[in-house]
Amino acid sequence: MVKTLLHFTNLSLAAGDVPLLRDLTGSIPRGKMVAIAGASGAGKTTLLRCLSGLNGGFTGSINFLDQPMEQWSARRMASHRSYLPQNEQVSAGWSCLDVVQLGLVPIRDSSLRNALTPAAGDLALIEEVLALTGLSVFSHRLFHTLSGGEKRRILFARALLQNRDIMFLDEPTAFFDPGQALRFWNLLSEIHTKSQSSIVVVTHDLQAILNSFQEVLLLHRGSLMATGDPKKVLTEHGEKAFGVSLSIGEDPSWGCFIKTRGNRHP
Amino acid sequence: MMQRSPRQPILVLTGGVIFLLAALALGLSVGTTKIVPLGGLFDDASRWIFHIRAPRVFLAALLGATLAMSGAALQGLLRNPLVSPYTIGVSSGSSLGAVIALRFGMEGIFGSLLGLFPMALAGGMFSMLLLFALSRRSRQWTGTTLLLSGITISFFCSAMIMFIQYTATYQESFKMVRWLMGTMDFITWEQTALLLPFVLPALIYLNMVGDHLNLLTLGEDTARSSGVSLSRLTILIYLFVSIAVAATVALAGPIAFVGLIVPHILRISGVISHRLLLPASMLFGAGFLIFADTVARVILAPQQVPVGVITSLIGGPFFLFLLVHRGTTDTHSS
Repeated sequence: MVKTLLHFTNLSLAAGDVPLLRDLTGSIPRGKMVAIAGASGAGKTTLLRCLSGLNGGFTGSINFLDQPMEQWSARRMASHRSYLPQNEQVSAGWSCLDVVQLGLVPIRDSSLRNALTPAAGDLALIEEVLALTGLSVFSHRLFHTLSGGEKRRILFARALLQNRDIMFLDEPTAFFDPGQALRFWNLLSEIHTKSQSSIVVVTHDLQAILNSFQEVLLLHRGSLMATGDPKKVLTEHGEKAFGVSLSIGEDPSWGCFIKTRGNRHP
Repeated sequence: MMQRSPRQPILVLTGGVIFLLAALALGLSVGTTKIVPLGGLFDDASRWIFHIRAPRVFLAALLGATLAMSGAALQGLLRNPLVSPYTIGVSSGSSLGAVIALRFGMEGIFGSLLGLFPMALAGGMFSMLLLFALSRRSRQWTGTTLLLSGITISFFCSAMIMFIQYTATYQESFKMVRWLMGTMDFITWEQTALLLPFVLPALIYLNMVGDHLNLLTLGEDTARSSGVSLSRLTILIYLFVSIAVAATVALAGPIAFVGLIVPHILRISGVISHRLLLPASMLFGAGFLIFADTVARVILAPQQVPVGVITSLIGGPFFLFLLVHRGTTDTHSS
């Protein structure tokens, strides 16, 4: 089995004259939960899109499972990883079950037989994912009638159905209430342990990064500032990356917690 | 909350087949000349039906199927409910070609309408290539660019058409106006057969893109990460639809509304998945246009009303009725 999920060398990307990523070199091990953190506009989403094969036009190289990204077709990529975008407009009219079910399309051949109604085995897979994410009650609701947080959970369930071995998630807990967020991180850890998943997540939830993730890539203005153990990286570089004072503590029963205090603008 | 029946696909497709068969029976048996189709296989009446009425009815079926299905596919691809097969600029190009042919008396060169056909087809293909060239140059195969380019080409062609009409004689001008209303008078089996190689590839191909269009309803990134190559999908749909629509316009003029309204009526009725919407649009579009053409033939008999007028007159109010009573067609709110 390939040990390295991703390896990128001298990765740069610009939108017109504006540099989004500047000369990033690093790697992401397989089977770990890795967070991408940094202030808004630091290039987190751009990096995630590049790493998951959605953004071409970069210079430098990216190897996904030891193969250059250029050798991965969109079709083949779709059967090796799933991706949850940050913000997507979903057309009205679908039920939640429909939305989740679309996760099966990339991994099924589109024969006419299972074209219009899902096969029994597929239905069981869908139900398993819905149960795992606690969304069974929503399955027949119309997607566009849900709240923001509920929509994100449904879209996550779709990604989970497509592939749970390698997942790229862009701010999965945006719009979540504190309870939802906590349950989500626990669920993600559970999936990770059970399936030895590689999970790469863009998030602003520093506390979750400290408690649930094994590694963090900290970005600062398009450059890779530091990478490694979350507690170490955030303690050493967090203040500069986010422009606030940080205090990280640990409590035997509560786990890591983080306190922030505003700095005056430098 | 209404729960969709797992048998919905079977019900909708069976309904479509029954609707199409009923329309065929109606179209073949109703007309200005009172004849009963079951009078005998080789009598005058049957021959009349076979040579005059049948080619027209089958042409209506082909046109309706092509326009409705193209409309459904383009609305899905561009994620815009207002798109119709005529929004992409091809039909205006075809119309311009046809109007040039009429202006310079070329319509009779190869027989009744066949001289006009190649001119109109060329006009449609030209505007398609122009659209492709523009999109390629700006490297943006995105919905907005394509849509705006198409609409701009449409406006330009419309202006050209008006200019040519202005320079035309009364007689030519009358022919142009009649043609632009969309009409299926004087149709022969040869013409109906001529259309097949242009529209069949589209009818077959569009039946295969349902999954991709479904994924696209979840957004471009989700579609891409699910293995959909968006630029390839866009180019192929545009190519097949353009060729098919250019040919239909070349043969029968622009027939308004079918491509916009049939997919929407199906959507309002709960057909959301493109896997079902595309074949259903094909069946119901075919039936709808046969029905409209039958009305066009008999409503002012022995005069024939252009079918485009009828499709708008039936379709418009019916659509508004559904809109008010069944909810919204705004299929793209988040």
